[in-house]
Amino acid sequence: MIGKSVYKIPEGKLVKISLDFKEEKINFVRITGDFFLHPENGLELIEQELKGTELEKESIIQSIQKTVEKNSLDLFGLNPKGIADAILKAKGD
Amino acid sequence: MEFRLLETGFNDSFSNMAIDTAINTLHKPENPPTVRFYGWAPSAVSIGYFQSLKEEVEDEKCREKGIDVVRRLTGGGAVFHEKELTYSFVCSEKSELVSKNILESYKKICNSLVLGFKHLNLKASFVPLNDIVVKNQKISGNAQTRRNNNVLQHGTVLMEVDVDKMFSLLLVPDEKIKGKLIETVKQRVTSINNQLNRKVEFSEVSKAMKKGFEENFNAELIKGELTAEEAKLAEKIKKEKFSQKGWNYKR
Repeated sequence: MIGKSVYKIPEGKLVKISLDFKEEKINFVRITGDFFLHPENGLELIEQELKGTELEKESIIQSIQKTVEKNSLDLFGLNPKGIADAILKAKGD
Repeated sequence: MEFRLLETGFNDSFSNMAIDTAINTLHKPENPPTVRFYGWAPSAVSIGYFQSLKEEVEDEKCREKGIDVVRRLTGGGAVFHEKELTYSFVCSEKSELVSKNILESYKKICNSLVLGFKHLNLKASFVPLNDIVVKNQKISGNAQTRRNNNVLQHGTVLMEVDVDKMFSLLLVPDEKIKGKLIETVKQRVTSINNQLNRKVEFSEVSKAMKKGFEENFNAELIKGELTAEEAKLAEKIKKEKFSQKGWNYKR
């Protein structure tokens, strides 16, 4: 299944999601938008880590949080909860 | 303290982004920091590193009108570059000139512009994360990246702004509210010409901003040139990266 969303993170930026999922799990997700994330390759790491993650809010937040902490990423205009909400919106929740 | 000042004139978007990248790639802690002032010919749309070109830009329309479209190394939003002065600043991440903290470093570097605007008789202020405003209206947008242990920050100083033209080149998430969005942006964005009620020259703005950087960093900006190595690397990066569809359409 394929889904897309445009989601304004509260107090943050507009995030756009392209999602491919199967049996409630993420096959592929692409996160785009006008936010800042340092270092920049961190976004691809977040997207990779999300592959296979269950499409459920807490699991998504945990996966992102793990990548953020492991790679000391600095996020401006977005946060794990906001990304999770955007992804779930793309799923159709 | 001495900084190198580069005035590279007006270049196409791919060259402009390649030059900033080459300076940032080759900068060493023992080199003086670089301040570069430049413009865009032809006019161009740049998109943030994390944006999707297809989702943000009317790329066919840009092509028809001879307007370049390029993905930046830095995050942030889509910008239409026409009547503006663009600056870039490069220093080592280890330098004491800027904080390790990203917000603090934006504030510090942007203060150069705030001081520069003063020389144009404009009272500007920094608004986190990355804007400079005059009378609550945005007059400068800025974006930073840290690569190769260096800090690269570049940004716009709007000399004149044409919001209708800008939106004719950009896509918006909801076409139905485009008109309303344009009106909002017109109220939120301003330019030097607008504020001063006269037309400023690029050279007048660059002189003011030069003073701003000098005062902010207590430094002297000495006019220099790209090194042969930088120029060569910029050519290569332009050819292999910024002018390539693979880069510009990568997200």
